[in-house]
Amino acid sequence: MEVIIIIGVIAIIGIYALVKAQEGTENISSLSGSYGFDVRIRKTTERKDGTTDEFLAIEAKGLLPVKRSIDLACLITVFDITDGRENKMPIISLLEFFQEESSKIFSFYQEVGVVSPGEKLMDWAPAGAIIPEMIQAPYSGRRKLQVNIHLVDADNPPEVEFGVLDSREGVEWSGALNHEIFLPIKGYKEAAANRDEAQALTVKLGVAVAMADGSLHDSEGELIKKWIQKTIRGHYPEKSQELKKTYNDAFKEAYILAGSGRLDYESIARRLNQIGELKLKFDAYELVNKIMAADGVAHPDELKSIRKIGELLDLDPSELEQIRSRALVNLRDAFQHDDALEELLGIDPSWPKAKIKAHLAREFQKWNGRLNSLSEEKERENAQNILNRIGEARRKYDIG
Amino acid sequence: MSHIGIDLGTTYSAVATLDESGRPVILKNKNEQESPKGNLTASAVLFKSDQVIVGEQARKRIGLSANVAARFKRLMGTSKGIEADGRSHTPTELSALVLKRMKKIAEDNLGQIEKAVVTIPANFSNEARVATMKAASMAGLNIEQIINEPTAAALHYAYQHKGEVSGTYAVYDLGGGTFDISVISINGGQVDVITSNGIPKLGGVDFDSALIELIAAKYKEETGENLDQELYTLTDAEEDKIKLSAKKRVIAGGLREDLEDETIFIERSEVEEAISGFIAQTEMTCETTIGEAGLNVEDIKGVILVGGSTRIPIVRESVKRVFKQEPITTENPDEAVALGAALYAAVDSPVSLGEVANHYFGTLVVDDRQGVEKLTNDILIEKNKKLPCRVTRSYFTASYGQRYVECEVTQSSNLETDPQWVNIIWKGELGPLPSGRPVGQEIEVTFRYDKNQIMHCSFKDVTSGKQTDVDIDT
Repeated sequence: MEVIIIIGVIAIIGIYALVKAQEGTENISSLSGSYGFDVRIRKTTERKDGTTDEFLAIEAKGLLPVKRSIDLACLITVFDITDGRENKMPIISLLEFFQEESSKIFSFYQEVGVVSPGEKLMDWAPAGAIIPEMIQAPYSGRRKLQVNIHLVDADNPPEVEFGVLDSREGVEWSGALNHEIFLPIKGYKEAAANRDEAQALTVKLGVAVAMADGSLHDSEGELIKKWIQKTIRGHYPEKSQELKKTYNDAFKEAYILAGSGRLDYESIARRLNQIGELKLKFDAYELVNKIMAADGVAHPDELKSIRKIGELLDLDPSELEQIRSRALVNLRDAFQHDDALEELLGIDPSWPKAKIKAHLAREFQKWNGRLNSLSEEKERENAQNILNRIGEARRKYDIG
Repeated sequence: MSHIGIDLGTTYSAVATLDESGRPVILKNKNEQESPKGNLTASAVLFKSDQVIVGEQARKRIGLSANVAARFKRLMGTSKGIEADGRSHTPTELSALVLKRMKKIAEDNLGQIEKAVVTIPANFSNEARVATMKAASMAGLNIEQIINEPTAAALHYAYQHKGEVSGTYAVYDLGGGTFDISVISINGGQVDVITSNGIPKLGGVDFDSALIELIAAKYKEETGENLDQELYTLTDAEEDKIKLSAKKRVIAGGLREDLEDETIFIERSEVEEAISGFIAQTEMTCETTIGEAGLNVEDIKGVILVGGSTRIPIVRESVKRVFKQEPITTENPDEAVALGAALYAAVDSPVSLGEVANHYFGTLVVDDRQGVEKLTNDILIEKNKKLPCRVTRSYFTASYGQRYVECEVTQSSNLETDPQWVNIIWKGELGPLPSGRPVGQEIEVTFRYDKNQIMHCSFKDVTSGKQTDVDIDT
């Protein structure tokens, strides 16, 4: 069964389709077609809840170019033509809603309904949208896009693969518009070069956390091995072998350095923050937390290094908290090491009492509320244990 | 035909009704063996041959007999089995036996019972609430409503002061197994809940366990041996704890004979030290609750103490410290909840109640706003929203030709977005929907929460009009 309900992006389109954007009319690209049918791209903005979403509105106007009554749909594909039309490159969509059925290449399909010859769009009507923050070209920065707009027979639409239509059958009208745009997201070619390095850095961070307590437990080594296997799966055999070697080398190098106390995990995290995409950084943070929980015990040095890694990766603190909490409830004994109390509860003993008091109250409220949602008995025990230790911490800091 | 209120407690239970003058009264358990004082009956069950004995006899055998089950309230809603009489019992089955006994006490006093209200802790999970309803049904009780324990106590307080009190009060309820704190507004006979919080596993039984640990350490020091659990049981600890509320030093009761000339003394201060971590937890919950109500301590006109554990001196000191005032004590803090429940159960109750949503309620959606698709809990009804209330929100289908939409109703104590930290209290589907439709079909979700704390949820496909409805007793 399909589960998914999207919020956000579709809401933008929905609002746009209903009221038509009232703001921002600069940067228009347009095309006048046959029969007086025109299409255009208009950069527009939608303000909601204090944030501004920017997108390209694709609009159409005039006499619909159909020669028969037809159930019409609009199909939009996009290419990057910054290096010339002959070197056009596909555009990736980060949202499933704007993806081809069999790939992540941008494709937008929207049914229009049954139309007949002579029908006319009196005013500019929405035909589609492109959200710059949700697409990925080969490279980031200012890019030149070719936006292809096809009006197709909804009962017999052409297949689209890598932005290309498999046939002209079922295509009633096609037009292309060029549009320059600034893309903030790192390009996929840029990202691919960085990805391998980022993942090797993740392996090193894993080793650093695993060996923070002075040794690499079998369970921790096994976890890193599984992570490597999962990461290289799905590549062509040659690439897979190359990545395997890269990651194994990273593992060995980190292991040797950690063994002699020379593994500088802070520099590794900084580099990862510099080159890694958001998802890769989350993957790394998730891995180090799993490694911390792998032997069932939270060692204070492991916790300290994880906290530092989280800071250096510059990730959303609330997301970090979720990942960390998931790891904590899976520990065998969260508080086996008495000196882990402050790290586990996120207290800095040098804070003023009022700050510690407020922090502990928040932590207590959080874990007490979560107690009822945990289905596993062990998880509930851990959460209860955390609550008891928060109570003790409050007493320890004499802030009753 | 009578209406009754039952306080189904972790350690003791009580049943009450309104007398002919409309005054709430505790119904006495006339069996002295079951209840020496008559007003409370121990929530302990002894299986003896073919007999099921609920009350004092069972309580006395806790830790000594494998045929006794007790303190099962905190396990309500879980699948954990409790071994007694050579077999496993569910917490619901055992609670049903206690409720059945309370029903019998009421029948002995009043004849046939028409309707009952049972109380639960404010922070009970939905599963525990449903399990309590089931236990009541198994006991043959006609339950139409469930009420939170501190709310019931507040109703009783408002009744006692018939129209003479008005202002914002806190109800501090520390019983045998759970702790609740509610901030309420009382205006004559009208009681409005502002907010409630609680700790599902904190109460007198935890203090008893701490006391046992203390005695075990002393015993080891004196004898060099480990303390046999039969030598000093939870019942012994409970009795010593009660004595320590009045005295500063007592002799550990159950050990006297076995230790012959050796005597183990327990100082009140030692017990206070042992349970201070628990007290700190109640303090944090109180502070958070006052903040959640948007109030300062100075705004609280009075703190009403409820539950047997509020007799412990360190508890009263803690309340005084947090609320900066002497708490309001009653003669029988263990009866207030049952008396309030009886007021709530009555047809023409002299007091009325305004409730709020005691949890957050939401649904699970895929959120892609960060550029990464992520299953997220989206809150529709916020905690502390005054009842009745209604919220409608639109979501959109995500795939071409989507025929079904999975529908969930979630409950959480905090404002949680991660599905890991929420309870899914209902799961269903909307469909089959018409085929061949593009993505982005609007699904309208409505949560309507009525005064009786029934959540009416609907998931509607706007274009086809197809709808899935469910009513959830929360």
